[in-house]
Amino acid sequence: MTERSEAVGARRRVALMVTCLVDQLAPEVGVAVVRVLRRQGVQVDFPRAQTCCGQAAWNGGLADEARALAERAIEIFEPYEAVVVPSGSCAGMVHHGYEEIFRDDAAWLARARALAAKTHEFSQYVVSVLGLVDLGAARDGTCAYHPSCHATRLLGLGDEPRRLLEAVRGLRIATLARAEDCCGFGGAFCAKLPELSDAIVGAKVSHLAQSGADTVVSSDVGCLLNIQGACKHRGLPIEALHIAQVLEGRKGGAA
Amino acid sequence: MSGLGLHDAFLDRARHALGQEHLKQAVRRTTDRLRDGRAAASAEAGAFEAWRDALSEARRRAIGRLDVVLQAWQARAEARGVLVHHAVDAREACDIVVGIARAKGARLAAKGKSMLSEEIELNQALEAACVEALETDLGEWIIQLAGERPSHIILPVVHKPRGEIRELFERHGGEPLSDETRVLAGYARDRLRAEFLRAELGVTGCNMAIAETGSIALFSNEGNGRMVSTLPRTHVALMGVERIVETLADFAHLVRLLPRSATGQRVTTYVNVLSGPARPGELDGPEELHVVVVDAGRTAQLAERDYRDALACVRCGACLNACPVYSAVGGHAYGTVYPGPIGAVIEPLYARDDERRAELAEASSLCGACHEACPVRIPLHDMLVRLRQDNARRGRGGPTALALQRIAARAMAVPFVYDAAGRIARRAARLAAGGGQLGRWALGSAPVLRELLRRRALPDVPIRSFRELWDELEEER
Amino acid sequence: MEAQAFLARVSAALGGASAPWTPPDTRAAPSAPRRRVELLHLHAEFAAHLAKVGGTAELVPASNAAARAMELLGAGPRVHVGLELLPECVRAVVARGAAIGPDSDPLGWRAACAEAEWGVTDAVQLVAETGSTLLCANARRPRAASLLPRRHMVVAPLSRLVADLDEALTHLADAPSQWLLVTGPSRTSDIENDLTIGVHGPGVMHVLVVDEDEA
Ligand code: SF4
Repeated sequence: MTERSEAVGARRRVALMVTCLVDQLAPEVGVAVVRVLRRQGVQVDFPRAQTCCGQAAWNGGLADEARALAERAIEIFEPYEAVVVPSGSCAGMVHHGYEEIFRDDAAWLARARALAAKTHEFSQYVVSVLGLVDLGAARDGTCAYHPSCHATRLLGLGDEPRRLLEAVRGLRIATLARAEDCCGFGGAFCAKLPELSDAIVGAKVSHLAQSGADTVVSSDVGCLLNIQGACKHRGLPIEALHIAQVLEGRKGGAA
Repeated sequence: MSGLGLHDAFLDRARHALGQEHLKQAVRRTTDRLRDGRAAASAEAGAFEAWRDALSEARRRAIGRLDVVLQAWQARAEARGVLVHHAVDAREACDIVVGIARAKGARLAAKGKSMLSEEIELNQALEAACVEALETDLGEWIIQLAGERPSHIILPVVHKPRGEIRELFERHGGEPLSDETRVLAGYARDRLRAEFLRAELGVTGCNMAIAETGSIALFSNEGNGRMVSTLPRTHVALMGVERIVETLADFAHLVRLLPRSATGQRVTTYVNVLSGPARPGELDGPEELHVVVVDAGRTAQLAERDYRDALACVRCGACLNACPVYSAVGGHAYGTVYPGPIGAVIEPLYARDDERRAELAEASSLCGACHEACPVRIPLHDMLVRLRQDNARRGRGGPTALALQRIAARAMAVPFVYDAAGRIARRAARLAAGGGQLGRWALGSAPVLRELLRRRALPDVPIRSFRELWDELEEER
Repeated sequence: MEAQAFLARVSAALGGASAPWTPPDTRAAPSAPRRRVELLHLHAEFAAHLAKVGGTAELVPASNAAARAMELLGAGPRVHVGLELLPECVRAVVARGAAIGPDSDPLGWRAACAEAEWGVTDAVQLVAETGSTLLCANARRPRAASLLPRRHMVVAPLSRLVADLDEALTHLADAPSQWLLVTGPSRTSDIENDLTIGVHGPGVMHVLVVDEDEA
């Protein structure tokens, strides 16, 4: 099994765009991504100069600052053959946001598109590029999958995460009502309009509670931190995990 | 305490709405019902996505050459006896309608549902000229009796419980009624019937004009729009300058998509297309049909490349129903005629210097659900980002808050500054989580976070960042 | 504002005047009349969609149409559009009793419609895709007959069925003063999302589809 799957990723080399959120607040997610990819034989590089893709600045209305960050990211990542991002939102920024940023600059737009063409959200990379669904992971319990808005609507992520989760031994997938609804994170939105963000995440939390899941899984750390904070605040014992963390797990229980 | 760093008027109204349990539930129930209806309608129709493409293209095509399309429409409408007027702003539009009412000696104007009429505040203008303006759409009539504003563009009274509606009707009629929908709707039917027959003037909006035949179209379910465009001797339709398609074939796509996107209906009960007043020999229908083409900020929007596509809007309300912010607080929190994502985009554009409207660009988590729901695929989320840029460029958002955001964004471009700032912030957060005074002070000095942290448990902030772990991770190989 | 000045503002906003607009070619390709079996299929689709929104449609053989119409219309006051527009088999029944037709004077006509239990109209087309009836206004087809009465009956031959909206709309390039798709009874959900039928327009809508060719 191991031999066969190692062959799948052998000779593949990717750069990890870890994202500022994972870097600063959830490094274990980056660790999980690296371990899962390495297990498949993929060689993972971490360009140390990377900071942020510019999404926060762009969404905050700071066009020049966002552009400077986007140019940096393009320069840093374009030498690599492929880029893996443990975030549908930041991958969505590269795919959609950069189109917006550089729409009037043909030279930069071409570079942005070239980067977008080889930039993949983590589960996309595993399923569509490596062609793998079963990574041999195992986990006891019931999870609910929260498809992040940017992963589905900006990036166009489909059922890759679900297929990966379905292949995890021992893991049940609960039905999450209105799964596609926003969790109320929205980057600075949750800090600028906290009461509103709270009302929105409140609906998500009650749907999670109804789902019977003990874990919520997503491809975006922003959503996960938000949902976890809200669950904890309400005393709901639901663990929030990035999909890479679930796939890293080999045995029962938490990864 | 500055949530948006702007006026916070939206935040205040949103807070107010969040404090009203009934309102919250009523709005959520409605938006859930409407979007489920839309989802079912789109799943049922095999060609739904192709129709969206076709309607998007048709609307953009018409708007891309709006001058000649309008001209063609007008020539055909006039040939069929329509009297076409043009108004650059709300004031001119009201003056035109009041002028027609005066010329006809009208004392009562019966009105069909029209958001444009709300926008130009036509009722006030008519009343000032001693013409009674009577809303006849059930929801709009309730709004009028209550002295409120619609809270949804297609279901104006989603926020009102039936008990309050009963009380309004009882006060109006002086007789006790029951809470039953049938009884309440029956009361409205009986009371308004006499008024339709009495009104000298009928006023409606215009869902869409059709250039090919010089027509205007009205979509409705109740039939009041038909009453006010059939019974009074004079019919005045208010038409936003951008509300036009070129051909009947284009219009067919609107007939399919507007009801499906709005309520999940395959078609509204009535699709009423008017090309001129009653012709000689016709026993009923108005003697005169006036169409007032209203600009009120739309041409300016046409000139702005970033926002031109928003003129393709068909006012279906799907983006309201899909929006997590609208669904949480309802329409009144926006403080504008048009609420929800489309309101947050067009309201600031209609009045570029209005700071209170400008802040609506922040009333979104940028989740993109509006774009996904929109039958004409308007990228509302991208437009909200562009509006935020306009705000930043104009220094809106408070000089300090903006400067801080700028500094943060620029620091992100310098790895060692980013790294050092991250270490300090994480340390502060850990101290705060552990109850330390210093950390508390540090977090408390960011008032924005203080509010958030009242509602969220702190995450377990790691000691080391990913980049600090990388060397160890390399050794694992 | 003057029309010219108004349009000039629009042109300016577009960055210059657009090229002249040319109307589409509306000459519909001549199509062979549908076979009866196709029409029956379309009727089934039409009736199913109409039923979903609370309207009713029934297919009656011409020989039985008069009896069926009489049964439905009862003895109450009614109004109708020009009789010659209705299938021949029902004209006598529709015209019977206190009915007032479109030859009346305008005020009398309106009052009669407001009093009527039934308004009887034809339909230019029946649209299977949506379960809609397409009504057109003209001198023989006054508008209020389908609006003010408490119930609305449409009588039309089976041959008026068309498949979809595109097909229906191709017949409208000549633009009557009003054309109207009516799909079911008047309705509202304004009060707490609770659907109720018959708020301003007719509360009942029934379509008699007359099968003139039944062997
Ligand atoms: S923006 Fe789109 S979804 Fe919103 S009201 Fe307009 S057409 Fe409907």
